Amino acid sequence: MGVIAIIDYGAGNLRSVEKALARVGSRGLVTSRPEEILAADAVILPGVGAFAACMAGLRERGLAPVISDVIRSGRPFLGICLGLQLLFTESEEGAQPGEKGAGPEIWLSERSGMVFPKGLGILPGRVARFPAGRKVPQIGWNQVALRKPDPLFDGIPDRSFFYFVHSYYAIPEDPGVLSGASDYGVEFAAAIHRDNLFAVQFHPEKSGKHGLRLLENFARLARHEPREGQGGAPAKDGQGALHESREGRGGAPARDGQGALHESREGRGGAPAKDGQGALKAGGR
Amino acid sequence: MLAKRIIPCLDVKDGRVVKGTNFVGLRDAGDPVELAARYDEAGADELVFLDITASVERRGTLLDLVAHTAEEVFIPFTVGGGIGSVEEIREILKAGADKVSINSAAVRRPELIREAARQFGSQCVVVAIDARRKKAPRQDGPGQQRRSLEQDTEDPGAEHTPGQAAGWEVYINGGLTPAGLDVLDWARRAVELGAGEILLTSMDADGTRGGYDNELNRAVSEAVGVPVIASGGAGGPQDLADAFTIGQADAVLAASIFHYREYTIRDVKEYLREQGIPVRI
Repeated sequence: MGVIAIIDYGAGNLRSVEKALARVGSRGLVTSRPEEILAADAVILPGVGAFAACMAGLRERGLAPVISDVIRSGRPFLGICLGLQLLFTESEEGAQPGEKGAGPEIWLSERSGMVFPKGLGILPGRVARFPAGRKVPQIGWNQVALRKPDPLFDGIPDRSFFYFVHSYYAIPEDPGVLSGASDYGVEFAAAIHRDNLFAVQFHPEKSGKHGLRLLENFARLARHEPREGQGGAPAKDGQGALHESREGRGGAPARDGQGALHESREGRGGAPAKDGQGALKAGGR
Repeated sequence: MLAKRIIPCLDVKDGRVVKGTNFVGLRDAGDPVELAARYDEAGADELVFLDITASVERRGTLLDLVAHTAEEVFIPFTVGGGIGSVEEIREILKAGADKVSINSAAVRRPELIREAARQFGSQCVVVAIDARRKKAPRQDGPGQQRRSLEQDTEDPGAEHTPGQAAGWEVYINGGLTPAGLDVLDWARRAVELGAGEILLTSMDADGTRGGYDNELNRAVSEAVGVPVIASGGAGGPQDLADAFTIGQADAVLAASIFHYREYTIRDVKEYLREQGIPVRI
């Protein structure tokens, strides 16, 4: 059975992720040791807390490069909540007016003259606060509209509800990484998928049966061999290699539930958002 | 679209549910974990455990309950009742609760909210407020009129203008002690200090089953930028609908209407959906 490392950086709801994995018959290992993370079959970066504090926790433990290595290696990686946001370039959370020449953990954005906490920078893009007019944090169950095939959502109907708790949301520079979107005044990235890299803004470990199914899907990926197209060829230079393989994938055959997702997306056609019911019924559960 | 939340509340004493035990088919009607799992299955959006144990063994029993629940239930759950320190909050969260609800201790020492939010994040700090009308005749419905009359009797000198609320006072120690705080002021303060949600109980409406105090709900919901959970007074699905539409609540807490199986969560959610209120079904 595959071991799924759950990265411990001194904060976060690690036990609930571990318990949810146990429920779907998988073994989670809560660890901050690089060698254990690098040896795992798959890795989860959970997250609750402040962006900058969590980045600091990762850096102090030497985990930022470890995460990049895991993602480059082609093994399944899942960021949850803040664990999604940390993958991006920078966040508005903790941003303040500041001077140029900041240290490695912060930098000056030319746009606004503000110093922003820097993220892992694995996905280009920034993390923004929800605009005024809605209650922040967003707390509760929101629907996720699937935007492209994502094996994590295998067997989960389009527009299913998941549990969110967050005040900030990610804006990927490359819209192609978006696999699920939700609406809270603005449309925001609820799920990200790029090759072996997965991330969700909601908490699957707290999202009832659909959340458990998503974790089960991830655990199944962890038991598989590396996905085709990445095979034994270790990535040459991280980002570039991932981009290439992503583009190269083009019409790659759907695996697992992807076919079903294709169908349901096509079936939805130009239908307005309201038609979630039909999609739910057709959703094969 | 973000769904409005329906949150059953379980009163727990010495590790057992002390009311709301009428689920059919439960092997052990008093087992909180089993009841929690049933509510999860039935479509509850979250759960609240309110611990009313007074004994010194309280903490151990409570932590056992939290740990067992966390193994069986995969929706968010909150633990409240007599929580007084950051250390206690830490233990409860570590055992697997997603949020804690703090009430009297936060009123006595507001810094507790800030400390808890700083250490664990606002998202897991729910500040519970027990609110009672200071004085105010209401025209909203028979239940509220009746309560107003009772209050008038208790406070004959109260001065009031019809249709204008005089506000609500915060009560602590299970509703026994007036805290000398205005509810709206306290709610704003609690959020400034880091409360991620407000669990708002109307002492006037609680137990009457005549509907939530939606003037209170609306006033607090408009006063703070975090979600408000309305509590106290639910008698039927229309009361929940009103809490969302009139009271502007983000979630409702309900105990007896579910415990005694007059309505299932599904019934209530279907009713709400017919009213155009977004719910997770």
